[in-house]
Amino acid sequence: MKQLLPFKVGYETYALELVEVQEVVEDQMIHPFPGSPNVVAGAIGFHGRIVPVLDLARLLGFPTGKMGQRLIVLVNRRGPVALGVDQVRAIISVEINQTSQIDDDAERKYIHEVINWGGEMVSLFDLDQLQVNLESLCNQGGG
Amino acid sequence: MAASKFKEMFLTEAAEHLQKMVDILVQLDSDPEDREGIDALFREAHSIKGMAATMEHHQMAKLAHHLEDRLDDCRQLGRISGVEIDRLLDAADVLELLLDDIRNEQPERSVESFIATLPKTIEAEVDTGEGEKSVDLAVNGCGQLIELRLRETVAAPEARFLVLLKRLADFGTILESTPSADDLMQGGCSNQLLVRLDSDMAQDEIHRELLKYTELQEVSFPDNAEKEKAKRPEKGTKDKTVRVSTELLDHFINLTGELITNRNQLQNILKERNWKELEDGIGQLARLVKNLHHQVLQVRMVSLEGLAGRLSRTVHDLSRRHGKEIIFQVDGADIELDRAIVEELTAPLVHMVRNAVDHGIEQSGTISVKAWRERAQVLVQVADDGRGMDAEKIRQQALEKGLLNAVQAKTIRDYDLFQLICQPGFSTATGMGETSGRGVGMDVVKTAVEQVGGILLIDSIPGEGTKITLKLPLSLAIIRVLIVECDGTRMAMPITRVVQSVEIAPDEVQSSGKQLMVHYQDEMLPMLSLRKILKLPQGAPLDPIPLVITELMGRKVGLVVDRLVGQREVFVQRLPAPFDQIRGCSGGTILGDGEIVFLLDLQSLFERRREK
Amino acid sequence: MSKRVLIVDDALFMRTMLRDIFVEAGWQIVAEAENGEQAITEYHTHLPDLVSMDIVMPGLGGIDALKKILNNDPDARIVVCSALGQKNLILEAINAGAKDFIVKPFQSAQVLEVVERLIAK
Repeated sequence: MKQLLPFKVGYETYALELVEVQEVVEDQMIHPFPGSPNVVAGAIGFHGRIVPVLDLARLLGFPTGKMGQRLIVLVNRRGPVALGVDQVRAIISVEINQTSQIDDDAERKYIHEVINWGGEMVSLFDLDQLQVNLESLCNQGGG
Repeated sequence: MAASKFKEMFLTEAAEHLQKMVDILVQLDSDPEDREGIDALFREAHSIKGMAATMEHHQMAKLAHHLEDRLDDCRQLGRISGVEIDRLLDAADVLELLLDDIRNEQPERSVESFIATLPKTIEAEVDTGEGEKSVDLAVNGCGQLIELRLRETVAAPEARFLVLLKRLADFGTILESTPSADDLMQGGCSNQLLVRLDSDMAQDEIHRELLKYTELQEVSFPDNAEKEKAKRPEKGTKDKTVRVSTELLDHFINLTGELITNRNQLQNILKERNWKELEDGIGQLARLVKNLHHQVLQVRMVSLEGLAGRLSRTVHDLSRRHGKEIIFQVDGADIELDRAIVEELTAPLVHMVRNAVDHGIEQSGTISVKAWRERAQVLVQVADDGRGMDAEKIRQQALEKGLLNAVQAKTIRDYDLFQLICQPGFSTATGMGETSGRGVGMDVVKTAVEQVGGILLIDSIPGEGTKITLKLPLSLAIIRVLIVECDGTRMAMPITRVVQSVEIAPDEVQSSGKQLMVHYQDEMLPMLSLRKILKLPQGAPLDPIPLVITELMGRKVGLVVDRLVGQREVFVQRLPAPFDQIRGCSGGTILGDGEIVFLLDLQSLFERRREK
Repeated sequence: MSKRVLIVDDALFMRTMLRDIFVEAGWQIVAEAENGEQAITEYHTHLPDLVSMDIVMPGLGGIDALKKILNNDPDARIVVCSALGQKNLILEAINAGAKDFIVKPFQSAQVLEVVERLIAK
């Protein structure tokens, strides 16, 4: 059994394993910072820490707009970072056998598994891939 | 039994005694008949022996005991020879390795063979034991180990090692090497080469031949036991413990007491809804927190003593090696800085001192390191009375490399000119080392200094010497910043990076071609718009124009912002990795009202612009 | 008697610079060559104490020229010059018998250090 937190970005539904999530916050002022690549929306103050916020819609290539309504703060192990998403839904529990691995060369990035949740396709977001890509994004210095 | 809770304490204290030993040894080198020095040295060795024996670190105790014996002989003689000082420095290195072993919870390496390489008594030093050396070789039988370490700046290290391997093959037969010649051909190696050589040549002779390669940072002949060391990863984790004086601890206890009183006071106010006293109580709390904060910072402060010792060791080793006579002076080693800054600056300072020895001093001279406080800054200066740098030659080079145009080359001041040697690649240009008197790596030094929020100033007169001054913030965590506003966002700049903030009238702006300029003191400075640099929309015309005079790429510039908000002290947080890699932002701070203000790193932003 | 050197480089600028460095240090320039073929001919004409050999040249390159020279005179002392990016070429040259190498851009002190210690042994 896995507990997942589904969320929507653009017209897709993604999910993170609950163990990766520290907190979901809303209506936080996001402060932009100088030099940040455009997928970094800025940062929030979170329990006295400065936590960078990623604009997931932009990262995944969806039209941006409603960004900043919900922020999923990941656990610190991921080096504090928050994901800005459009909508967060109720936690679901799935059996492992409900998931299917997807091909490495699939067109959609940042997904490592797809779950069929009562007829709806939910994509499991790949945080490791995100981590790797973030490093190169930040090193280039965006702009 | 060696209780583990004492381990940290032992490690810290032993490291301190060891550092003192090295400091005293280096001092004794210039005054070999300083009886007090020799006595002090004996006491350090004695302390180490005692501590190590208590903790049951037998190898360490044995070596310290041996040193104690040797130093006792020196005491009888009333003097210590240069050869003996070098031996003791080597011994200090071995003690350091033993500390590493203990720190990494590994069995201590054996000191038996090291002690065996030392002549039994110090009188024996007159004939530097040819006999003993050959005995040594016979014992080892299957060749001798040679460990070579390259300087970090050496180009094509694999190729260099390959040349050295071939050279060593001239002396005898290479039994094995790590990395091997084949490994080297594949490329990718560390800066260390370990060779087992079967040779009839004496160690001294091989050593002398190898010293002709100045690309080598270190040539050593480890014994078999020490070979293990080469196999192990570099250094163990550094000590992260700090020592706190009991006086400071008492302060903390008192403060805690006061905070408890304050809490009770505030709880009472809340219970009785006695709002009149609330302001009083909160004022009290603010005072206590400020005090606490101050004390905590105090704990993080360390003096420059350790660093100074390290530097004098560098000068000692280098001058001996190059046959130069150098007097090394340290002033203000008691000045304290945040330990993070001291750690960050150790390598750059070693580099500066190395430059002074290699390129500044010709045959003999003085290198001095001076530190002093100036308001909220600490200044550290490395000065030599060597050949100095020739502004003309640098001007010429800069012109050739296109770093200056003809007009700039005429008008640029020497001060700004010298800054150019910190441009990446500039100092490695053909012939520069010779003519300018400064070698590679100043760009690295400058970057490190700027990373901790400091600036670097260079001053030099041909034939009189060179002075390089670092202006540093006292502490990395809490810094004073200038807050400015731009397109509705507030941003901060470390005050150490700000020359001045001024407001000018629009008619003070002059145009020279495409560039807007402003008259500041008796210089014309280019004006840059922060909005433009950050790619923000253009704003409404400003009157007066708020300007931050700062230094960018070694030049003073006037940075146009929307509004000067003011100065304040802030606690800076670094952004978590990998966001700390983003150029343009070196951290941020959360203000009282919850707003996050980011620390602008103009230098890197600007470099990014230029790269494009 | 001053030491004799053969300078091989296709760039006039580099030859000039090397010439200055060597002349200033009291060397005699026996000849200059701008490619591998010339280098081989000049070497066997003059039999210099040392060759400073560029690696990348049009026509016959430095490594091939070096092999040919060593074929006829295994004791030839050849130092190769190369840009920093050409690490593999340097390794190849040393493997083929170059005695040492110099990385461009260089400083006269570096050049002299390399060649003097070679001559000394």
